[in-house]
Amino acid sequence: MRKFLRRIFQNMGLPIMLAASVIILTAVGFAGRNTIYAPYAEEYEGYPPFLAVIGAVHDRIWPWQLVMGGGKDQEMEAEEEETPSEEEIPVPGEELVQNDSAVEIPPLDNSFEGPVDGPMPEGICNEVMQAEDYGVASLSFLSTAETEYNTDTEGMFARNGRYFKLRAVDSSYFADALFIGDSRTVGLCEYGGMKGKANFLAKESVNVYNILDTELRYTNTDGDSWGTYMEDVLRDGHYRKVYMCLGVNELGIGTTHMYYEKYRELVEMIRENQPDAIIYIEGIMHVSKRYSSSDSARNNTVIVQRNEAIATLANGYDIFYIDMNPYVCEENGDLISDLTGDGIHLKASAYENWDRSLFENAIVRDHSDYSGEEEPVFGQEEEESGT
Amino acid sequence: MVLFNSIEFLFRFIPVFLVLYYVTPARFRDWTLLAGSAVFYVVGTGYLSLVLLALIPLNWLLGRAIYQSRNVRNSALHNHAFVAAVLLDAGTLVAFKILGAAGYSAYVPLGISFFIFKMIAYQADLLQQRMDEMPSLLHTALYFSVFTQVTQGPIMRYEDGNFENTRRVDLKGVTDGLFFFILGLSMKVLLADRLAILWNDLVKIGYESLSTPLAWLGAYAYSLRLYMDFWGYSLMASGLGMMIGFKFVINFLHPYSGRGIADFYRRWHSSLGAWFRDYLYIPLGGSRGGALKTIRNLLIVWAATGFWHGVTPNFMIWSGVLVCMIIWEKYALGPLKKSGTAFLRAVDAVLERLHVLVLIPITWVIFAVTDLSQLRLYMERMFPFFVQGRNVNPADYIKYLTMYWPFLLCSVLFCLPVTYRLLVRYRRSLPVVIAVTGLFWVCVYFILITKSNAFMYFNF
Repeated sequence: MRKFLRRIFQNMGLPIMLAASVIILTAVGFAGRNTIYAPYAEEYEGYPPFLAVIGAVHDRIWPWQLVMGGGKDQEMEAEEEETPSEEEIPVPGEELVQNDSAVEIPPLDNSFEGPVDGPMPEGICNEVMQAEDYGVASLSFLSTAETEYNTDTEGMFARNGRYFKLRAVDSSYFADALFIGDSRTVGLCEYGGMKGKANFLAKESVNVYNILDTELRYTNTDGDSWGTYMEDVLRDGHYRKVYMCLGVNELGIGTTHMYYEKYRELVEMIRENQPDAIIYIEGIMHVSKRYSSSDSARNNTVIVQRNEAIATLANGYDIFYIDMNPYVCEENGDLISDLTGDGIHLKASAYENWDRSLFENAIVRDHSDYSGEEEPVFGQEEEESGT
Repeated sequence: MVLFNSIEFLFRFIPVFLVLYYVTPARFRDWTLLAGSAVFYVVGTGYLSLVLLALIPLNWLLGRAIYQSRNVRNSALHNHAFVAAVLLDAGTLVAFKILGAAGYSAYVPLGISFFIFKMIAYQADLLQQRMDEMPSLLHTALYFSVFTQVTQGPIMRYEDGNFENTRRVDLKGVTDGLFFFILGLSMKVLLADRLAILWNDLVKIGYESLSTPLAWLGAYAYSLRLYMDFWGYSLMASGLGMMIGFKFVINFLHPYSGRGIADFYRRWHSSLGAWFRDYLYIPLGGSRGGALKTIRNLLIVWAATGFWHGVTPNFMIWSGVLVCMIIWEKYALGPLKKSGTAFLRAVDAVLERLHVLVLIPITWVIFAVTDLSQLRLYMERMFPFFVQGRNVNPADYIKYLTMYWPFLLCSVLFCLPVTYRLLVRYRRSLPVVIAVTGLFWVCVYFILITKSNAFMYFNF
């Protein structure tokens, strides 16, 4: 008998083992089809149920949670709610109207129909904006004259309030700055002229949805670097400027509205933890024409929509929207192909353009922001509002 | 679905097909296989399947004309039919290659290079009477279109398919086939696709800004990736073939253990190399007509190899460098090998190893970078004697070594013949069976979470 089994295994060990694992995983998937594997069963509909079990591992949902109980389930459901799946394709135009918060955000008017080849919408990123012209980036988001804002993160470019002109600074400006972002910011940290002159908190492939849960890489002005979380850095450190550059990994995930809402939460969180920091919302850098026209979800049309949305978070007082695209894009808004190898990231040798956009577009409110050689120039309207 | 590493193939096509195939009575299995191959190919390439559909009967008719006139002395039909068949097949391939090069690659049928090579081999084998009897139309169609080989080879010979005898599916064959399939899948998904990310990062940084160590690391990583990708595919194809009842087709024979470039290419993609040898090099006269003729024949064969891989100039440089090295090995190092002194033989052995381990990775960079100005930038970083890099981060290679060393190490282990041999020898032992089953599910995990990664040889 033993000899017989041995021979069976010799000849068929692998199929038997594979079949056994298929049966076990199928049973697991079947048992959890209405609980922990429900969303995955839907995602892999038409495939054997064990795919849901394997797919769920990516979200740290393990088979033994089936028996270990419900707490995890709820946690997971909450997470599911927050993290949009890739299948939700952005529906521009409607999405921002659905926002029932106090701020009235007008709908986007450029409808989205697949990749674009034509010129970018008028007024976006064609030239560096002057402070008083912030609205040019997104005229449709400008508030009307008497709009009142309840909190710091609401509102537009505060036309009727104080605001400041963008001006050029030298690298000392960035010594107390923190750059938060994805792979693009990693590149800025590794290849930009800011290396060793600013602090960076970045990691490849993070997005607004997962950045709080992801261990990021912190690099300080001494060049030391270690892994840490965004919450810890914001709680423990003190920064006078926080630059945020997130948005390229979100393309194809969720809607513009979801992106905007998450972005706002992050901005609010930074505001809370770093009360005297200038928060810079960096517009998402465009992609190359070749990349843009090959992907229906990751193209410049969507990027422009999203930039318009996050630009509205700026208040012209301590939250500002800045845009590097004029430094790296052609007139029609496509990322210049010589500056990029993969169509999404700047080449190492092209980060100087991003540097330049940062050096030439900074806000100085008073001497504590920047004590460069030049005297800070205050916005005209500030004086007016004082009278 | 045409990718062996897609969930459609793994969890829809293959299970359904295998069940149908195994329940079909043995003498009707050819039909099941043909139907499965037809579904596979039509789903993969749509109406362009008509090209293959048209070429199958035409080749069969021409082949039959060759076969029937085989005993007629000086038969005009015999030669004319063969010339017609070669013109038809080669002409179709060249036409589609040019179409693809002109930017219409969407109109090139899937796997055309591979089935056309089989067709030419089929006609030549009929001409030279390597086949005992005339294949039936069914077997001809199966040989050209069998789904395990139609997309990327290996370029099996008709005789090796053993079509005339009923294929026996035995449990051992299924078990071994499954083993090779999962082994190949793991090489592709767990090694090649991971190393691909490293190469993408080099593209992202821009070649002009690579540190010299990173440029070299990139060359080796690309070489390993290409090897794991294509050997992985070949093992999957051969494994599937075994599960259906074909015999294992060898496509890679530990090329990096080869001695010299000529030896490397006897072991690398050997079904293609053997094809060029048997159907181009030897008909041209091979190496029997003296040195000059041999060199001419080598140049022709490698020009054809370069063209087959692509029409951009980098492929001409690639094959040009290789053929020069092969001629150098043959006529400069060859005498060393035959010389009596142990010292000269040692010199030869060292040089040959260096060719494989240093020169081959450089040639893969030429192979990889199709734009000549970009290629120049890359070479300037590998050999930084004349030009300075732009905005180079001198420590960049440490970052990538830290990130990728496990994948690089595993791939290097697979370059050593002993790794593969041990795995194959102990493939039926419990630890290996458990490990291979585990690897399968890890592969499934990576397939689910990453977007589809086509095999690299899909482009050719």
